[in-house]
Amino acid sequence: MMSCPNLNALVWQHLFRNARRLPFVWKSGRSIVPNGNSFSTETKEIVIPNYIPRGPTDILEALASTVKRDPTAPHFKFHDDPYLIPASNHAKRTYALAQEAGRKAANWIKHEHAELFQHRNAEPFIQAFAPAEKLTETTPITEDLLKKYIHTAQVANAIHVYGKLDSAAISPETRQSFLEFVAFYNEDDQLNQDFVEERWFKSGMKGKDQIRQTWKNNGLAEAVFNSMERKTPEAYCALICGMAKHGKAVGAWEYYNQMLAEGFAPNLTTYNSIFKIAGIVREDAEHQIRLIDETLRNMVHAGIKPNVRTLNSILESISRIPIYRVAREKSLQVLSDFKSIGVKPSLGSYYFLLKIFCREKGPINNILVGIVNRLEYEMPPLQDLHDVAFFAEAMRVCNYHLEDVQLAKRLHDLLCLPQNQALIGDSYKESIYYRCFLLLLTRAEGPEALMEMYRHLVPNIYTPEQSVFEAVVKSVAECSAVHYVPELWSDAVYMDMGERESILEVLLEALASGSGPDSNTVSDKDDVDPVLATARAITAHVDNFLQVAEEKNRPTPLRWTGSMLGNLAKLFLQYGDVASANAIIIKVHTLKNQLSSFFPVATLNKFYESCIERQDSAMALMAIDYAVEMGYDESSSMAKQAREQLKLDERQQEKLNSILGSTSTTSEES
Amino acid sequence: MFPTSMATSIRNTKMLLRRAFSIKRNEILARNLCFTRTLNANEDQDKSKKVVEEKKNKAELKEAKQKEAKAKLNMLLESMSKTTQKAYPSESKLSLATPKIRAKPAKPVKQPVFNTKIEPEMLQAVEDVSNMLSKENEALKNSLIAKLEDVADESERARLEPFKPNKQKTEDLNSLLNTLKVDGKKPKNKSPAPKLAPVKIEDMYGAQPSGIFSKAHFIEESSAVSGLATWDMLYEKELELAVTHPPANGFQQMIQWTKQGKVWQFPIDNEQGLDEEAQIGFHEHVFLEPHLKPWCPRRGPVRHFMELVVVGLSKNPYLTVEQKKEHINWFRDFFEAKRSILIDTGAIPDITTKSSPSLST
Repeated sequence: MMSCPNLNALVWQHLFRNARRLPFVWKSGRSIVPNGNSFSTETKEIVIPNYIPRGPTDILEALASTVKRDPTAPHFKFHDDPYLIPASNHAKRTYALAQEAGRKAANWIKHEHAELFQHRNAEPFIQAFAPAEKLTETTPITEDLLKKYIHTAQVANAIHVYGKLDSAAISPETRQSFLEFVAFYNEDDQLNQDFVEERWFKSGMKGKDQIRQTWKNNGLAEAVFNSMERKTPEAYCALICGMAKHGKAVGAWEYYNQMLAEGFAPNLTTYNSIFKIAGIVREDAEHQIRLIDETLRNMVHAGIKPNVRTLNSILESISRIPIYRVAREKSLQVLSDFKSIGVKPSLGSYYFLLKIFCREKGPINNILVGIVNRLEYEMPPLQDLHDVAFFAEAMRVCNYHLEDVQLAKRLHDLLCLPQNQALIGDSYKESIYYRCFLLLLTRAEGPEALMEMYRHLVPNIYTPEQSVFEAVVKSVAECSAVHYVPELWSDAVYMDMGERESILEVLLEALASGSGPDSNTVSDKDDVDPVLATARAITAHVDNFLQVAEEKNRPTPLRWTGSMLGNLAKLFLQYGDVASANAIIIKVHTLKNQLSSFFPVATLNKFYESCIERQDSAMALMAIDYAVEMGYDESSSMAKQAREQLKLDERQQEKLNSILGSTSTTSEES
Repeated sequence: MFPTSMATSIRNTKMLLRRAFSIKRNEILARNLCFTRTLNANEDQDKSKKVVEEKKNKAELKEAKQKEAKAKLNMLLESMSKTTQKAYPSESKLSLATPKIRAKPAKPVKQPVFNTKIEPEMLQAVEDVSNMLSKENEALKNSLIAKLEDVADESERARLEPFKPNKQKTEDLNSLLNTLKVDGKKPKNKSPAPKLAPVKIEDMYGAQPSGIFSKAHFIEESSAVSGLATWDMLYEKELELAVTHPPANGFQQMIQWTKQGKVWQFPIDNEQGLDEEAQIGFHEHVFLEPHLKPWCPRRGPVRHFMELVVVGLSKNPYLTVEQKKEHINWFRDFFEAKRSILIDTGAIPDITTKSSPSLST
């Protein structure tokens, strides 16, 4: 009887421990019922599948992968309010960072007024919501505190605590850990990892291609290393890795040799670092390759299996070899070598292969085709920091090197897969990627295909830079696809580019490149052709902008130019909108020499002819006036025509004579 | 003919002047500089070629007028840019290293009459054509060459006066081209001819391996344990940050919050984070009688009371096992303190001599 409770307890314990398995048993049991097998006579063995351990985010990731990007909606991070949807790059950046600034302000308050946030009613307590413990004079400095700061990557605090700690009291393990920590971050304090936006926009600033020496000479890392009485191999490794990571190749090389002289065996990470700096410590390509081979042999000798980062470091080093042929052959050989030991390349390896094979002035190389084939078959997991640079570089190669639009589209399809979207890198790489993609499309695609992709990308996924937008407009204009221009104009206004002179120039050029009214186009409710309506809108927009600028006495880079007005007048004449054309000529007449380019004489002639047709002598005189002022050859014939075909009253006659006064005298003199 | 053309040239100059004044000042300076340089360069070239020049091209009328206009323009512009001339003396006394002017290989000048503006191949072609049509051989040849020279003149003029306002011709051409309806797509992939021959790679793994790894025996753990635990941890962290972007949908936001430890983890487990409690089995919460065993009388009102307490505690989800034990122990101490009263009332039998469990043990 006495054992009964114990038995009960055991049963309960057993059930309790297995409680998590229950749902899976249920699932498998249920799946059999719909098959109808439970009613049949044959007994089927129920196979209970193994329990699959799930991480805390696995379910969410599965769910997230079902959500495709909606190109018609602004990015999730922006407020879901039509008034607050950003379109221009500047607005996107400002809005996103403003939101982050709010988060930072909240964080600051949490930090400054920590006493207000000490209530602990959550069970279990949520550490992320608690204010960070401030380091004050009274804070007990312990080794555990140092470990905590190292673990949470708080560099400044960790360094502070290390300085306060009695150096004899620190255990060797913690000291080693701290050395690795300082070497890894090079004593630079890190951005709080919760500030996603800032990191997204920030990383574009630093060019990662160039190795710059950022290592702090005689800094804390070296001090910690020197303070160690017994230099362990790990200490050497940490210092070498840190120096190699932060561009102090010579220092790393020295310590590496010192380490070998002491008879220590470097570990894998250290070997990888040495491969990375091989191109700097050995200037000549031949010696560099020899160093790589030698180091690989050392690794084999020590029985250390290289990993994918070893491959990437070697390729990175090879990519700096200036001689194309040597770099190409060696890189292919290395690839084969690594394949023989079963190391598969990651995206970072492909990135360096592109750097090696697709050089700016080198021959065209189609290696990217093979890479994309492989990637479509199997996407390697993220393994190296360079992996995120691949897509931008690949699209750059597609655009400038191969000019292969089909390949670019395949690449884009790859990136669009939900699991690959994070591999774009950061905002800077993203803009390079899409810039190259659109530029390639403007050159290689017809207006329909171009505009289809353009509508897909702009403005929510990507906001084109000024030059890219100009390229799009020009490409549309080249094919005289005028019906797309109204849409482009509204995009230009939307993306804050409606006040840029060069954009207006190309837009008007594109508008005027058409062949006049098309009976097929659908007019709006006022029966105005959209192209004509766009031209009027542009005129009104610029006039309005100039007027506001003048009223507020604000200097503006925008000004009417002759070619802009010329295109407008040409378009208005094409569409028979005489009133607007007149308004343009009046503008030309008043601005005259302030125009920074010439009103095209062909359009002027056309306008003049229409004046004669309409017997509009006042406007005709204005046209002649401009022609004479600018010294166009046609002015005399125009004047002649005016005398013959126009009914001029006396004042107009007088005016014509005074206009012609200068030219007639010069021609008489000569 | 001469006066009119003179007039045109003067008007050209005048026009240029007017333009020059109407455009922005800095532009004027820049343009003047360029312009004088081009002209000067042109002059130098002219000098060097003088001998050749004299032989050929017996200065057609047009050319002469052209030159006159140029000279006038040159004078004018030189007067405008005298300061720059002063600042940079054109002739230095120092004998500096200068690129050698390569002497042109002596051409077989078959037709010294013709301008070298036209390339010799072109001349050869003209000759071939005219030879084929043997009739009026000479006349045809001359007219062809005259035409070619016209073109050459035109381009020369265009080069020297890049901003001539009279763009009638190009304008006309443009308008003509624009009126044409082009509905065909542009040819795809109009790649410029590559400078170097394209290299095709059929197989990335096609190269012969160097055999470095051929006899390698790797220790399996070597790649897993690098010895730099902190370094690896930080690298992993950085790698994760490299693909952590602003969330693109609500699920991704929840993933980030989960990783930051701000929301419940999936699959939902309402004991998440209760690590202390996870060490303690369910039975310890529910079966509390064993705690009575050492001290509680086996029957009687105290036992009855304590059993009720234990049942109550076993159903209480809010207390930890420690607290439950404390609770029971409090009663033990209480009854211990009231022991004499309990004995007096007969609630517990006063059998101190017997070995049965008692409160004192």
